[in-house]
Amino acid sequence: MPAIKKTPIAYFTEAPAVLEALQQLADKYDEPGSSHNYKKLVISDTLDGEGYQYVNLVQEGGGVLGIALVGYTYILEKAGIRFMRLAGTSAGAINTTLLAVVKEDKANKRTSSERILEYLCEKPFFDFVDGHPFAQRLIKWVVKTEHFAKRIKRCGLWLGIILTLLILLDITSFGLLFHDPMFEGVAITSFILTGIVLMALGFVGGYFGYLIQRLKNRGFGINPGKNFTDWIKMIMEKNGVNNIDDLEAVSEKIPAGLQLRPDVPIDKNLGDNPLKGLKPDITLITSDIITQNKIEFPRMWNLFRENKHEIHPAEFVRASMSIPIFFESHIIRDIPRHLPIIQTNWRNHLLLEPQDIPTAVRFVDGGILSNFPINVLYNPEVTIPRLPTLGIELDDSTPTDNTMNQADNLSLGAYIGKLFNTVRYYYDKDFLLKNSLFRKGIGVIKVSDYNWLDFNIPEEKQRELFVLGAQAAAKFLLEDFNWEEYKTARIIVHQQVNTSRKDMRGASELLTQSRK
Amino acid sequence: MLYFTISFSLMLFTALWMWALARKFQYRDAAGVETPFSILDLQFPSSEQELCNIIAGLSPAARKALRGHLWVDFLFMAGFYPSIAFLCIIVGDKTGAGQYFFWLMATLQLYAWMFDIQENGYCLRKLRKPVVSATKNAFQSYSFFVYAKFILCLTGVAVSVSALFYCWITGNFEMGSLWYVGVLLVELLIAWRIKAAL
Repeated sequence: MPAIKKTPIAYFTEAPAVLEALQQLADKYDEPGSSHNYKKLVISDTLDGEGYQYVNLVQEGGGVLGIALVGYTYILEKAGIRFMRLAGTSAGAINTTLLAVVKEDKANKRTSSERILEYLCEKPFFDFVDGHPFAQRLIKWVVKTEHFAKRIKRCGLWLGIILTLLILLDITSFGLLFHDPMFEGVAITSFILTGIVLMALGFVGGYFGYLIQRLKNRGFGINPGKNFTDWIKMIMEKNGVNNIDDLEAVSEKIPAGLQLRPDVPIDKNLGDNPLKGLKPDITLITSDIITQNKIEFPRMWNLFRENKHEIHPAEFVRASMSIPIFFESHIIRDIPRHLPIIQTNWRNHLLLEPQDIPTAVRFVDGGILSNFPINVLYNPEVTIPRLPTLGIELDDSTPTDNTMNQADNLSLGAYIGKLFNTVRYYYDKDFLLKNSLFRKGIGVIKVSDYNWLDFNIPEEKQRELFVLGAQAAAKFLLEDFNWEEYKTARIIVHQQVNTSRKDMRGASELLTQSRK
Repeated sequence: MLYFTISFSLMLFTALWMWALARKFQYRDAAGVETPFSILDLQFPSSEQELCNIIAGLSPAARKALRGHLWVDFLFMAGFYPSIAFLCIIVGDKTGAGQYFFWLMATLQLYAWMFDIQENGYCLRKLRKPVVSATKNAFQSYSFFVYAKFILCLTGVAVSVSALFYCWITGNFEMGSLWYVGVLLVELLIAWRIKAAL
């Protein structure tokens, strides 16, 4: 039975730093009238009937650091911002799904983020670590212990010294016992102690061997991730999402009274309908290591099943957060690859021919291919943006990375780590290098002091992460982001890249105004 | 030494029998995949739920094999724990005052045996009814029995084998006992050949 904890959400939302961040925003953006109305804040040209501004949002993955994402979205929502298209990977995929599924409670004036926080407050994160008890203890120990590798080395060294001393004592006492019977007791005790140490080592080695065999039998994952799947499924079902149809219904529901700000230049390519293409959706990223592809859920569900009811949307989130080794990879078996519709879908989505369609796929964390999938929200057709694409980045790089100036002197671990990171970050980095404009919409949360795998993270640290997210969001809105600048830059980029068959009249007017 | 040889032979024979039965251990997991498992998976499950899942997913043939394994295990225990206890007593006789320690180790093997019986009883009950109990007590006791059993018997083996080694290199043994050692080695060789042939 999963544990229930009860921390009031006020513990997070009424943290002094969070209240201060909201106050700073109110000081800058409030118009006369009710306090904290943030009416002067302009971040998008897309509004709904209640005056909320809409943005697209991408959230980066980062294990338990994802609590900071909730802090960030909490401030955005409090400032009157709502989300059109959402995308995320791993922890970002979790918050993306929850933002789409857990709707605002208007009666009690609770934003989606506050309701998400309620669910998080009821759940001890260590429940998600549902592997073998020994592995659970080991994970707690490794995560809590600073310089774990050094300590293990030191333990090994001490064990070696003890064993060497015992063997030396065996040899010495054995030689001396033929001269003085007094050494007989010392010798036999020493032999027995040596035997116990060797047996203990053998037992530990055997146990590790068993655990590794077990790991192999269970898809090279320490934790089955079943508790997580049950949890996310429970939240979905409580909010009326039992299948893909339900998920699409809630995540693609067009906000009531959706409109553009009056007097904003309209993209002439949109024809009579300035709202054309403005439709909410969500994208969760995962990596399939069988066909070696990036998979976008829910869009690509039809690669694996013929009917929507045959796959639960909780599986999409589970697939996206399958941190390799830490969680078992998520497998979808028995793909009906003989069906023409499935073959067509594989050809359309991934350009795979029928003979190349596998019988089963195996998903690991989307973060190994695209941890910050901002590219999925890029729409090259739009000449004048109607809303910005914002991103939340979790920056866990240590300010003093001592390997930066040691290209000639990397340890094997650092070498392999850098190799892996170069590959896994390049997909997203490449997009941002080519579309540096999107950088303007990215808020960064500095989380280098926290361990992304610390599922046993105490509540105080959870609150610190939430506060960091909230502060980063406030800084982004107060200092970093300017919608008009963003819009202008986006138009210029579009003109430079793609002007051939587009009607740029509206964009030109806007640029002229901007120059003036 | 004769009693040790008899109990060791029983242990070896039943271990081979159990090994043959364990080759049929497979269960269908939640995703419907046939997954092999070992008796260690039953002894060290991550939770009672996992234990129940394994048992609930057994095919009739695997269920029969597991039941057989658990019953043969009772015979195995009758060879295994007395073997360690006899070894402790044999070695203890050669260690002067140390014999009290070895008698203690021999006595502890009775406890380990008792724990193993409890453990097997729990598994057989689960085999009949693979449902998670309302309270955690039974599963916690089961886990305690498993760990305690392993710690006691392995400590017994460690202390007696290392003392035996000491006796060997100091020449503190009777030449007549070498016949028994020869018999044990031949038994081990035969067991190894049978295992390879199966």
